[in-house]
Amino acid sequence: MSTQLSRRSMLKWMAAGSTTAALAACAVPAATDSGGGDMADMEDITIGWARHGSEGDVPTETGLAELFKSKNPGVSVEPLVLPWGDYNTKIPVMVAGGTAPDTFGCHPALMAETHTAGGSIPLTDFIDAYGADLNYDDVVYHGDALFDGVVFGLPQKSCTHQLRYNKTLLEEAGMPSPGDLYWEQGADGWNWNTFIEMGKELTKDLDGDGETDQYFYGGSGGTNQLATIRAAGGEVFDEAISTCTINSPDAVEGIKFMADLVLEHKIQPPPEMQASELGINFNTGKIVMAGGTTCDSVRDLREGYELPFEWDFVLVPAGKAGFRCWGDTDQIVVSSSSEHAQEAFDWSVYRSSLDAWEEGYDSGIKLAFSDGPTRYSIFESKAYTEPLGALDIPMIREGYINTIPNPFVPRSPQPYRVLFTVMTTEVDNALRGAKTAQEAADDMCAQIEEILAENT
Amino acid sequence: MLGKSKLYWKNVFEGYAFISLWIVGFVVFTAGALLGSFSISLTKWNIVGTPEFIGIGNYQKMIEDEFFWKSLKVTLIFLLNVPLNLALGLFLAMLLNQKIRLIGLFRTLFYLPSVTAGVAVSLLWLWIFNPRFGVINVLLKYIGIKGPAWLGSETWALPALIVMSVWGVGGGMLIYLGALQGIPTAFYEAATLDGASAFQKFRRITVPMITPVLLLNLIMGVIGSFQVFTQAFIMTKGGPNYATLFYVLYLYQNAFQWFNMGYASALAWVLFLVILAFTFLILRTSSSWVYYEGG
Repeated sequence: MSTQLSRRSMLKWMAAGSTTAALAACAVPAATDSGGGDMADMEDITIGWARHGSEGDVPTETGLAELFKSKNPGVSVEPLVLPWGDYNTKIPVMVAGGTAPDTFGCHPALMAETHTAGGSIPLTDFIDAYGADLNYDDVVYHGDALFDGVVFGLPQKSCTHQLRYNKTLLEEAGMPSPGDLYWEQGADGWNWNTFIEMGKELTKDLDGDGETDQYFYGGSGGTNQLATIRAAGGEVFDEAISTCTINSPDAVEGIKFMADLVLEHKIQPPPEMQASELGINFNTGKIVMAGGTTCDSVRDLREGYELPFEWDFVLVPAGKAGFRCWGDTDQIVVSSSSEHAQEAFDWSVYRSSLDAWEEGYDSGIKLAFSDGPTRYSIFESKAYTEPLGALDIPMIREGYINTIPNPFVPRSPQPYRVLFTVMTTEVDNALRGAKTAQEAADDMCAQIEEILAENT
Repeated sequence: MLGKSKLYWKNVFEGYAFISLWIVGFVVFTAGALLGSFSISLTKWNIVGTPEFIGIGNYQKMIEDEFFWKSLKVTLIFLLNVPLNLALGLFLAMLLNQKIRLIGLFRTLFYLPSVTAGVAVSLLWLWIFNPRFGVINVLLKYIGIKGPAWLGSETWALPALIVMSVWGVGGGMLIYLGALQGIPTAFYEAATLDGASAFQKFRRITVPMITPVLLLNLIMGVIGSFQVFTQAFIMTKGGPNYATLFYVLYLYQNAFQWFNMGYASALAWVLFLVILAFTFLILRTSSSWVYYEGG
């Protein structure tokens, strides 16, 4: 028998291969793997769990899934960790296609979109069925999970956006700690005025060349910009989210305060300076205060990653409306396409529980360095206090209490576009002096009204 | 058709069979996606929900969308980099076409930036353009000029990105170099005997002989400029005040940041048509200035 492949045979194989490739390309993957085909495995259930994160989060999720399985024999969790960009495209597509994982994490904007699309199921009945065992009152940030009074998620992680301050620089300058000012005098001690006064003392030309080398403040991102505008008594929308109100006098006062830090008081580098790219940033000790989240910034406490100075958190200083702090959660939702809703919910209960934090901690998983507390009881847990012992943990907790309103992210059309494109661009215009605070606010409103009109 | 021989049809069948895998790939992954995006462009769709058919609504919306016009204007201005790159690429190619020592090293050095990752190049230029410590402003300071804020200035951000685009001139330069080396030396020898000056040789021999390559670089440059994205995404995020809001960046924002997938698809189709029109226009005019040996 000849082993040589004839041309006719080759063409047949190619035609068959093409057809197979076409069919494979058109195939839609199943939502979940419901276990193996053997009779012995028939009872086993595998649920999919997706979250955004980095490669470093994979061992965390795998480890927690193993701990969950040890308590729930026959139920396996298959984690999928995707980078932020991929996650925000793949999950919506999977939700739309009915192939979403059984459970997946939702940041506030994705939470609202998933809810509107009917991609998640209500959990209130599940929570009620757990009763005291779940202790829902202990869960932080109910706001992000609630839609018309119904709960649609349990938190996977929660973060507040505060300011970090360089304790060493402040001590060397003989200045009081912002944390002490907050705890001792509240809004009377830690407010816009004290912020500016301290800023003037600590913004310095270190080498005498006439140029500033050390700035007091690194500047606000969109999250702390919103917190500042709200601390001034301003708001982006009216209550019905039908009108833009960010050009109100109160909101403009907040924008002006931010612009004055650069233009008048010069305690913050101008946006065009790209200071951070040049090593003028918090981690190099050339910025005394900078924004930081209580989920990510704490990684600087990990062994081998410590900063060469002491630092801590404090809330964004109080405006005339008091303290306001950006806080948000990634909620774990149960997909409406899941065939194992109860098991998926059981996983979400475990993933957000104190047990997961403490059992994970005992097995080497330090959620304190990746996930903010999902429950108030976690602030007292060794799983949180031991890794973050160098920090003012009650201050971190204050962020959760001062997240007003809750949810902090407006339930508006395209909230991230409003906050992180429209608002940040116009505040940047004010900081560069290209527009007055009022002009920037008016232009913000013009764009926001368009977004509202598009989505009405 | 009916008069074709059996051998003819056999050859046709075999030809298609040999390219069948490619055809499947094209139909499924390119043509399918193209048609899919066109159908999406007729809907209002935020990816998560059900698409709502709105006909040509997305296309009508563009007319009133100030950011559509802004991004188109920014991208059209950025096209200025094309003649700059064409001229500089040719100039460098002629320099590197000389028989001098270490010419291989020089060619590599000039070509290297064009194969460097866009993100790395962007980060490098962020430093170069820094208003206080960047090398450009430091040099300007030496001659008594206070440099602008470059990427932080509404006026200078786009020109800065145009200047930066010259960094990638090596790609076009290499193609010119190939074309220059393909010109028979007999032409130059004959011209020398006739007493032609260096400029006359350049104008009457070099330029006509490399016009096909000029055409190629022109078309590739125009297409590439319409698709510019990385620099703005990394360096300016479209700012300050939308001064570097390139068309594809705006498209990306709509698609993947704001989930206006219907509108983004419509933007993509308009971009396709604009590029098609420019390419068609260039090709139509090429018969009057491109010289092909052998007619």
